[in-house]
Amino acid sequence: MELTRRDFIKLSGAGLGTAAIAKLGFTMPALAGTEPLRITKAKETNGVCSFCAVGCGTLVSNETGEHGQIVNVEGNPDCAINFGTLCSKGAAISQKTYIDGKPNKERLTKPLYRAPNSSSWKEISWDEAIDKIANRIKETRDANWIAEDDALDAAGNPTGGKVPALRTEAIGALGSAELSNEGSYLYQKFMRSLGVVYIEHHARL
Amino acid sequence: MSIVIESEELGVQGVRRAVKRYVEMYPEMTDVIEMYGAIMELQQETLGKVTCDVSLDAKMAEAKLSEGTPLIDPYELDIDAERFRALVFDIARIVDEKSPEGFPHRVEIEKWEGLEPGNVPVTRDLVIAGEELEIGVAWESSEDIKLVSNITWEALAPSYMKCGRMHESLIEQSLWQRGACPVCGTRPLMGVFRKEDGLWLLECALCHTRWNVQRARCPFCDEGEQGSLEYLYVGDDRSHRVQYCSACRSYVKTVDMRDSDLDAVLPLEDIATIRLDKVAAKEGLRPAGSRL
Repeated sequence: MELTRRDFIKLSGAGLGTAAIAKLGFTMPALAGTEPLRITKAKETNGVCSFCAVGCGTLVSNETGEHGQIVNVEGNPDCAINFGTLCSKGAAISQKTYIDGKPNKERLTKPLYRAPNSSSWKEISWDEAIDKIANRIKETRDANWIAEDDALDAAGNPTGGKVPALRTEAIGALGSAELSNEGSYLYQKFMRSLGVVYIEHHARL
Repeated sequence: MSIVIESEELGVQGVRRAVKRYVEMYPEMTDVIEMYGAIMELQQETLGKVTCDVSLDAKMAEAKLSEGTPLIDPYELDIDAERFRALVFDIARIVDEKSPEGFPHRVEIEKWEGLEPGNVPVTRDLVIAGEELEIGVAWESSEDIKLVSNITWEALAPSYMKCGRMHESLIEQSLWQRGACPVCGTRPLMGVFRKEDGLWLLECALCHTRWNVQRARCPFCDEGEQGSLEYLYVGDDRSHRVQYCSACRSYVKTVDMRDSDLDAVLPLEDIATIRLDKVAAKEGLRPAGSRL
């Protein structure tokens, strides 16, 4: 598209600044356009840092296009948690995906399974992984179910009676810093429905 | 999140220092920077003499911003007609003296009826609305009329700047977050990523109030979805960007001040980054809020 001076003055602002350049005969080296310009296009996307429980807001810049690489990560100034700041780990979070511009080979993208007594891992499908986890939870829970406890008197001595317990102490639950409040609520609700009593969170800084 | 942004007043000396700095940075644009700097000096001098008769308290300001209304109606503001007229003449003189082709209508503009006290509100309304001025002399082209509109705009600015400075402390930024100025409703001249934290501030093209908008969201349209706001830069200069919306095709140039020791003076930055306007135009983008 050829841009004439008339086109440009239409595009210029309401004040005199850029309009003056186009209209008043100033030399316009910046507008000469003799050299090809190398133009890079990118976009910013809101994200949340996944390294710890603080949940800092991030702005991730990636070049536009189908396989646009991440070119920058910075703290989101509009986020009331971190106001534009990031720690060194958060600032390097793109290395989860890319290291020196190349895909990070250490990043897991599929479930891995190591069979008992095996020394190697093999890829399995998500369906298979979820089935294995569900089966093991069921087996462990059934094998270690505590239906009732001894009833105690005020001094802590057994009365000879029983009280319902309905729990398992063989399973522990560790939450995730990447869960929202709502996600954490559902997670602990699910664990309690299984009778799990050792419910913790890894929100440690 | 509560954010109040207050502009630092440049003053005449501040303008001179800024012009010197920008001339050093962009020596190839010395003439135009110095011409616009002279206009900015006049505006700063006038800023100390004009008054703003709009009075708002924090509660009224909150109510207006909450319903999406700027604090003042730009078409209702009282303009000191004599001072405005004198400023138009002074700016026309500077343009004539400091530009290579001069301003051939400098004498004619002094006889223009649009600057008579009774006609100033109409002239002001036309200029702010972006309508073509009615000038009763045989002008060479509509570009000349546009240039008079540009000069008139600059002469209106101090009155609006005064109101902006009086009211900017009332602006609770979280109530606004729009692409037009919260004080006078005008489009932004340019944007800046604030040095301290990268907050995206837009600066009004008329009253030069700065206000905050969200970084990864287009402030100019209702699309507002992740991904509609993109940016481009030329060469390796990532500190000067064209922030544009792929949905509404509006753009605003933005300078990132986080690696700079000095704050950007955006009217001068706007001139210095004219190459980005050209790139944006070639990409089929239009300045935010422009009426094409």
